Amino acid sequence: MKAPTFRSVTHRSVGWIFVLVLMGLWEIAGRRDASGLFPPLSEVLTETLEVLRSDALTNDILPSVARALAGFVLGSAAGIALGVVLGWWRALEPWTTAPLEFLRAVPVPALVPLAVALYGSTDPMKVGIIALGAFWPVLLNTVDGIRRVDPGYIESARVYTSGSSFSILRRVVLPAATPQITTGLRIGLAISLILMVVSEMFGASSGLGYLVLQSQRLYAMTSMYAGVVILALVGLLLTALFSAVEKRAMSWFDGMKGRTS
Amino acid sequence: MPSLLTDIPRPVRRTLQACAGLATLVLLFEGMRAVGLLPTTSVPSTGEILGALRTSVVDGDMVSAIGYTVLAWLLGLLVATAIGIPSGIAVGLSRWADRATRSAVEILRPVPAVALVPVAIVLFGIEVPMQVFLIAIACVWPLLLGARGGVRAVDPLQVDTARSFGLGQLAIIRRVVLPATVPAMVTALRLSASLGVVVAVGAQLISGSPGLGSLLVSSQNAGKNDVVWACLLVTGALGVVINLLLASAERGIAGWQALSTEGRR
Repeated sequence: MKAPTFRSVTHRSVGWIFVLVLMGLWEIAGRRDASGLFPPLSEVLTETLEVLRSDALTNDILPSVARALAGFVLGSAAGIALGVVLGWWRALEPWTTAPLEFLRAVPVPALVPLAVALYGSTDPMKVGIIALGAFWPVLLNTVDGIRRVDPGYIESARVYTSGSSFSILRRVVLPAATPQITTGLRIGLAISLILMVVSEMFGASSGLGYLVLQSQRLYAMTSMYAGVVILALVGLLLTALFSAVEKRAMSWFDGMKGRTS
Repeated sequence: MPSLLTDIPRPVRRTLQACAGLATLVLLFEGMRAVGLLPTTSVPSTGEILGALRTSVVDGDMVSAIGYTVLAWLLGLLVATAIGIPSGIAVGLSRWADRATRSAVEILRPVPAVALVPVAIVLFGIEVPMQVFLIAIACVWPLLLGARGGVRAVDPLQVDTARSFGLGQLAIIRRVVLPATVPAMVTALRLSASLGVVVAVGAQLISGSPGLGSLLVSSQNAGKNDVVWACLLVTGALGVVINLLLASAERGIAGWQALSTEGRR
């Protein structure tokens, strides 16, 4: 760890000054707006704090986040599992490519109305929709990542360890594919958040997305923007969490690289 | 693999295998209906879906829904490209601009675009411009970051070589940096393209803005389940066409440049 120098401090503060300027612009634009459709930032932030202190936190916000996380984890796990199978047994590829290309091209939000009709606006339905959204990018990147592993790694593993296919897969192929699987996971997380919102805006009666849409219908502009700010905070928080986990996973990965070479 | 298969020329074999895969998908669907995993009362058969597709194309509903969706998608992607690529190149070239804007980008990027549907309704109403706004917001980030990453990844050796041949700063940017960035930008475009379809359909579902999403909802409300499934079929087909077009563009460009390491979606 290097001590923060004057340079690094100024570098970081330049970015935050820009953020403050943007916030100031929002405030000024909001104060000048006479239509009432664009409230100033200060009012929105006050409202945000109020919403966070109210029972909406436990009734709407936390359940939303829990569903997003549960869906993301389930969908990613399924995506990695199937991705490993399809990436490793290449004989399957010509048969599975066409159906998978079609299925993944169906935008998952389009399935929400059907899912609501078939299963109701329930928690398992929402988690399932979020999981399906996270599933595709993780699956495709896992397949890609495994197929792009340097065949030299696999050959040497066969020579030096005389190991079974399974141990080569676990100890050589999966670690080498980790960076691309991580890319898929990051895209999957962004899609999970989108589907969290869509699944709560269509036919739902609770959740963060519902709060925002309901405020718009009631023309409660300040609470609508407050909902958007909370959604942004949730996105920021989950992305930061992901980056923290990724950093740990990747430091392990770098260690593996040192050992296998 | 049985020898029967290996005797057939490769392209024909591939097509046959793809068709077999798709046929399996249809059989799986019909099987799930037969077993009761999908209730036959609300899930129509393949034949009914295709019939509904035909009638909705003939009476024009499907055609205009596809038209609106593609129009919004194209315009949104265009706006996102016009904003995202130049700003991505700018923050890629200038460390200073990058430092100044990075925090703002990191704060704004994780906002799920569909969360802004209500805001977009207030600002733009529920016609196509509202979809364009949302698609542009969703797609601008992958394009910006793709262009930035592409500029950053340009081999310094190429830049130094150009400089030692006496090229000026602007000429280096135009003739070395930008061409080397094209593959990364095309990859980013492919990512945003499918994201754009997701956002378009999502926005249409929620707001009733014209397109495949709202046709799907209105058909469902009218009890026309076969049209609902026809809409799903069409969104899938639309996605396949978009993916194929952009994947082949990417492959064409990868011919003169190593594949960028961005992910796929």
